[in-house]
Amino acid sequence: MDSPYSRRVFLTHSAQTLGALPTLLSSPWLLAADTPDIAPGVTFKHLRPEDNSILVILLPIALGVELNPLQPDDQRILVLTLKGMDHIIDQLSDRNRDDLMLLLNLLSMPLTRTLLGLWTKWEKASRDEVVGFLDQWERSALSLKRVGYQSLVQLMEFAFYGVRTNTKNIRYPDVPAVMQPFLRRFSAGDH
Amino acid sequence: MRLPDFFSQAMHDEKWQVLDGARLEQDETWETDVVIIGTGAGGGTAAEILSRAGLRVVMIEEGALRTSQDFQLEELEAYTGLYQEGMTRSTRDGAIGILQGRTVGGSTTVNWTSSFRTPDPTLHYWQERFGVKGLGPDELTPWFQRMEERFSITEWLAPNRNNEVLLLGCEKLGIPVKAIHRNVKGCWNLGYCGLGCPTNAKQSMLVTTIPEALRQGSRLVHRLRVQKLFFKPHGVEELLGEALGADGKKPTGRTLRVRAKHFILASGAIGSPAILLRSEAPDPYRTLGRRTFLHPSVFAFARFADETHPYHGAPQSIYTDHFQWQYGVSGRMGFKIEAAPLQPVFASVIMRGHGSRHRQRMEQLDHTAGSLALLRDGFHESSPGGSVMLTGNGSPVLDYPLTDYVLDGVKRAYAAIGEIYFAAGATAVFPGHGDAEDYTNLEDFRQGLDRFVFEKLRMRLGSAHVMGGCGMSEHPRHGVVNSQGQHHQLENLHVWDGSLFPTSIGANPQLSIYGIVSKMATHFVENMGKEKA
Repeated sequence: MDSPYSRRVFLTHSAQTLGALPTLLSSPWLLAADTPDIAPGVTFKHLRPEDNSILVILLPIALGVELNPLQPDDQRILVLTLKGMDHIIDQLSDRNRDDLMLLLNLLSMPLTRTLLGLWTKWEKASRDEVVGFLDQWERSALSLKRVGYQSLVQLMEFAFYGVRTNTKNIRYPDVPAVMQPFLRRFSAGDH
Repeated sequence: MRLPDFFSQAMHDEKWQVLDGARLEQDETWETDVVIIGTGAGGGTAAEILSRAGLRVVMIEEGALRTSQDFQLEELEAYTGLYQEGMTRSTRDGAIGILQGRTVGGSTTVNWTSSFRTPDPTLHYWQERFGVKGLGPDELTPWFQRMEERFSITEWLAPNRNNEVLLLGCEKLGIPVKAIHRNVKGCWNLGYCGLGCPTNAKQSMLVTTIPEALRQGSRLVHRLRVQKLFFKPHGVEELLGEALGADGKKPTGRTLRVRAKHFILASGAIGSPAILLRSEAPDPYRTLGRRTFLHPSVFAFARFADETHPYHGAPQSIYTDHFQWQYGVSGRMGFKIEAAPLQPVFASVIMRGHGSRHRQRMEQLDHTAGSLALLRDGFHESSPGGSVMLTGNGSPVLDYPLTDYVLDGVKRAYAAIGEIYFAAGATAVFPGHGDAEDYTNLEDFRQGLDRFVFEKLRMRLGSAHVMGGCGMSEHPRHGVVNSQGQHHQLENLHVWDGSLFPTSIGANPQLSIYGIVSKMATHFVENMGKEKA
């Protein structure tokens, strides 16, 4: 399981143990039902509404921040972060993007989600359950779960702290004052 | 207010021949004396020397042309726009993140400016182990001097607090510590070198050799990916380049073929082997793409009572090589310790972890210091490096097994940095490992470290220095190119970038590339002169 070439094999087999992946992906009854679109009207190149509905639950817990998807200001931050994630996903190599999208897919489907370690529906899972899920992936004996952990958590951190609003709460002063007048974001007055 | 954008201005005023591949409207075929594939440290250095010698030069760059006005110092935008795979490149198993530039100037546009001559023990090792000729310390000294002058490389004597705590800790422990030399001229000491230099102070290829080559009449094509070389007996005849669209990734369908007398490969130590692999270049001894090295790097952090602002000020200005040759050249893994700048995105990723602990660490970023250790790989039989291979669509991936030899180095590097930080007065230390807690004294830290699980993907490892894969050796069985960087089987092909190193360097490699490539390119020009005479 630990061989270097077995990452995709693992992810694919995780699905295949439950039946053929194409069948799973085309079976509507297996898909997470009733997932409200967190960002109606916002276009994403890669993330689907079902991915976003997981990520808005996973992201605040993974990053240790309080963000309520039902609260408009928090929702704005979440959507900006998801847009950032979508942009980063666009830059991934084809191989890494395929793996990541497959991982999100497996996490969104009830049967594969339980296989991967989260027994409760995302929208009903407690913070402790989600933290436990992340802890278990981080320290799993399977290096491939650790790959999943690292790539997903890194992507969320990259996107979250890449949104300027999200760096204000950590007392980050942005670039030195001497440089600020020469940067568009300061001269445009949007800071 | 705007700062001068010297490249854009001169490109317009002096009518430089710069073509954006995204705007290529029809398939074209060009002929030239020399075509250089890649515009980083190797390609840029070669372009200046060859164009000054009167050769017609075409420079090709896969990434887009970005100049100082584009460098707006936003992490997300810079990482996704200026780095390979949007800064998410990693080894095949995901264990080591790889930072490589993908823009005109290559990694020199986004590096942290640290400049070191190749250490003598490394050069001696190349001579003894690989039969490399003409690249001993004495032979290279004048070339390093010349390039230090060319790129204004001098000691930086104003360490920020993030570097100062390293200095302080080392001094307390009696560990020798030195100032880092940087390739800057009129630096504003901002600290955002990894996002591109907005003031043009960094003497990268973008503002030095590439403009000079363009002034000499060279042509530059960016957003063009070299797909393949076509061969003639004992040499290369032509290259096929695919134009990339405005997104910098998707081929437009237009192609540029370049026929040249000489081909210079300078696409970095993943890109250069990949082009040869895609082209099915002769590789009789299966050396191509092998022995690729990374300086696998570990990260560790400390908190201090006073503010550190580790995101501001020259990223790296202090280092110690105390642990570099401790076990000899080819014993247990040696490492160099340097500071790591901590802008929020970068810090959040290299700290590793999730949940409230990660958040609490981020909330105290302004009191945090960060360091890295560059592990010197390739000098021991248990450190054979990795292999570049191609995925189904022809894009490269580096398979780099993380051996116990490397993991032993990782653990010792954590221990060394932790001790330095406590000596400097840290109130807490935490390595970038998933098992790390915030340790408030040295003893707890050491005990904690002993409990860490050292296996891949349990800690954050990174690399900003990819080397090897087209290694030098006078013996074709042991290397892809000879001591001039000339391919053993393809006479008119030279590899002039970090991929020709037979091992890693043991220091940030840009000055090694400048010095070695300038010597090789000058020798090449002199030989051509002799042939003509």
